[in-house]
Amino acid sequence: MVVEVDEAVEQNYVRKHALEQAQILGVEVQEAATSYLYFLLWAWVGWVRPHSPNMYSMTKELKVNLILKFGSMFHKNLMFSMYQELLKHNYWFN
Amino acid sequence: MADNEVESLKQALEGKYVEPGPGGDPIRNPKVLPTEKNIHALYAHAIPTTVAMQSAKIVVDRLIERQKAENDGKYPETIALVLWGNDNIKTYGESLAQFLWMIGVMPVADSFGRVIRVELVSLEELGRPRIDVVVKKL
Repeated sequence: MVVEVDEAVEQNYVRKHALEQAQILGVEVQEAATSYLYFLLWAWVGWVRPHSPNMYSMTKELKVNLILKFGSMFHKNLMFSMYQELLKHNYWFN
Repeated sequence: MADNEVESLKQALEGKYVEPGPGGDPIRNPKVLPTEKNIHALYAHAIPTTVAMQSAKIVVDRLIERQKAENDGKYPETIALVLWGNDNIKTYGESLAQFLWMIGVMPVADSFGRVIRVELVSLEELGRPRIDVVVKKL
């Protein structure tokens, strides 16, 4: 409802972010606005890393496999986007 | 009050009936007292209450103004919230109300006081942009 209202993005950051997300993922804005699973996955990644010391010693291949295995339940575009983000920020692979 | 609680506990342990009643903060809801009841957390359709919404508006408006002042006059685009279960039980949905007020919507209740939908608050009434919220439920 909030993303669909005809308001300037400077006055509606919910709409602004949903439009950005829609462009990245190639989906409709309504779908982007409800892609909570994407954020859920990030929340999981953010939780696992500080709570699991063994994650630091994982090989790159194991980390990628873990992401792909866990992420297979998500939309392929969401997974691709997330994987790109991980690579861009060198999040796990250092 | 303590005697009542012990008596109710004994009844429960004996498998007898203990009268149900609301739990939560007795200041916000005096019906919580006396405490010897078999308490239920909250009635989901009843939150956020009008009082919770009023409190949330004050908290959110102050938070956003402070963030704005600390950010060279720019409004925050996103705020992360943790939705604590106990907090919502005690405050009758104040955290939930904070989330709603950040994005600029208001709960609408039916004639029985049950929240059945939300409606947009106009930007003129809101007086600021709609803030994006990331909610983590704990």
